[in-house]
Amino acid sequence: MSSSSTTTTTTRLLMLKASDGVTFEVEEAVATKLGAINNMVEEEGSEDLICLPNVNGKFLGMVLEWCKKHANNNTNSDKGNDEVNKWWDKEFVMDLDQNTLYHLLMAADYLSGTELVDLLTEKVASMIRGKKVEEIRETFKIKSDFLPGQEEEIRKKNSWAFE
Amino acid sequence: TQQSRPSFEQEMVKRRSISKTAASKLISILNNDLLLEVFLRLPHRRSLIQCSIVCKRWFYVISHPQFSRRFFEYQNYKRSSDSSSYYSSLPYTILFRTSRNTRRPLGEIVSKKSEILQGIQYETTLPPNSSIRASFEDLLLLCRDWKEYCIYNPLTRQLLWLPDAPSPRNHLEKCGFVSELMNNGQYRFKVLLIIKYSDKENDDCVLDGATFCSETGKWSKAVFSFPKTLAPGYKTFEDFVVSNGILYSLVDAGDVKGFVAFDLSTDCTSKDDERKQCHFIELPINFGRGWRASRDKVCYGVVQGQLRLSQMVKMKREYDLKIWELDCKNIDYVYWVMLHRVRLKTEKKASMGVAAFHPNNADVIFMLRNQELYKYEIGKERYRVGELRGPDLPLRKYLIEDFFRFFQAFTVVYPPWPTLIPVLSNV
Repeated sequence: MSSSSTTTTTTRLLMLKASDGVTFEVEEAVATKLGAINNMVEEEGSEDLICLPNVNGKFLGMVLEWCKKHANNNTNSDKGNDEVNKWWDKEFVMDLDQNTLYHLLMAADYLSGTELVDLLTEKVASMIRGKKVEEIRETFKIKSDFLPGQEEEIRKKNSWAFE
Repeated sequence: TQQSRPSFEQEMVKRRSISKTAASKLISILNNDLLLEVFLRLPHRRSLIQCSIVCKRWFYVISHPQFSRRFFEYQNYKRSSDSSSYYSSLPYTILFRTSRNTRRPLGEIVSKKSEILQGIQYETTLPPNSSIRASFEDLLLLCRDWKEYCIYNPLTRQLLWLPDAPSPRNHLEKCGFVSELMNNGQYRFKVLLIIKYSDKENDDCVLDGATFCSETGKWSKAVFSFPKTLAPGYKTFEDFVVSNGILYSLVDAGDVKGFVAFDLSTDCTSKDDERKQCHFIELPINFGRGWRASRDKVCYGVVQGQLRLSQMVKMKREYDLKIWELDCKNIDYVYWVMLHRVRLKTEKKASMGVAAFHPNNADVIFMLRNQELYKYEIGKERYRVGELRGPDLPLRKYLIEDFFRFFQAFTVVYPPWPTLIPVLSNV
């Protein structure tokens, strides 16, 4: 940004307050990457302080980090930036543990961050792909709750999918 | 302001019975909406079915009628936003045979790294005594003893024999079929049979045939015609390939003359014996005529759903390869667009011919070169041995004329959701 452009765009700043009281000061353009916040801002006479009682500060921080990256790149979008974004997204989800992944996903969904939900659900899907049923149960610590015989029945009905 | 949606803490309380050590089990308590979003991103119905036996809730989400609709929507979105990466992710098999005996086991060109292709054994799972006559997407049209036809999904092994077609029938009959997904989520398919052709009438070539529609469960007679002047002295058709719902067959009169196109999308209930128009599509303007248009120099096939045509002619020490695609956005004015024209250098004695198009990659074809089958990237002097399998392999060495005399290729492309063959209601 050149320092001479002091004129027109006065960026509005929003205060986002998480469930544990942690607050974040973010530019409107960043926060409105989230559909829920965009809706609130578009309401007439909305205040600059937005309380988000359903999102913990840690995860709100991460969501906003993602928004910031993607809002910046939106302003001067070109092919190269697209690549950078993809790479950044990859890094962002690479080492997420299941706990963080879950809470991020719930937060992104609650805040209607559609693209972030895409990214995170894709990450969960990647943890399923190529795994056998037992391996999936192991990964997500799921116990089968089928009645005896039910699972066999589904297997039998769709035997082609288990070859 | 109070939010209507439950918080994730509330969600956790609700599901505490499932999750005791929440930290490592959290994904398993995702709400159904998000779980559905995850499942949409799985590559194939095969993985979905496997997921459905993980636990009852996963089964519930995946088998819900709404899920298949969402899955189709998501795939359509993927295809429209980036069609070439969508297509390149689809596994395929090109089944081919090179002998007159149509029951002889086939060779296969298979796409790499495809889990779902592991389970398919064409030569052992086809119904006995049947031969492949046509393919459309992931379905095959099989014929048994030149009499009975059936639709077969080689992946799910779903099989449906059709009622007998109207007689008199003969072994020269040509066939093809198309299936489409209806608004109600069901597939409908139509089969076309051309039984007899004659040019005895003054101005028209007349084709006697029959069409079958899965909605009525019946065959009805159909007569097609096109002006004789378009293909003087034509001798034969071939079994059909399908692009954009239209069935195409090459017209051969010693040399290739053009294509006939049949549009079966008009309703199934039209009267018997009513003459229908089939369209004749002329060859591209810069297509070599006469000896250059002999059948072994011409190949056609469907690439990413579009009809393509190639011609490869030897000139001294190189081959001249041309590839066109049929542009049929405006159904009243279809025309060929030339996509490639390349010169291929060869040794003096080399013989080459195009065997098949890669169904998903517009820049790759399969080529018989020096008696072996290669995968060829158009425009690059690079040939790689195709990924082949089948009971006959390694391929015996073919002379190019022998190879193309009986060569037939059937391309099967496996969409993420296998086509479900409908049950015929009134059979």
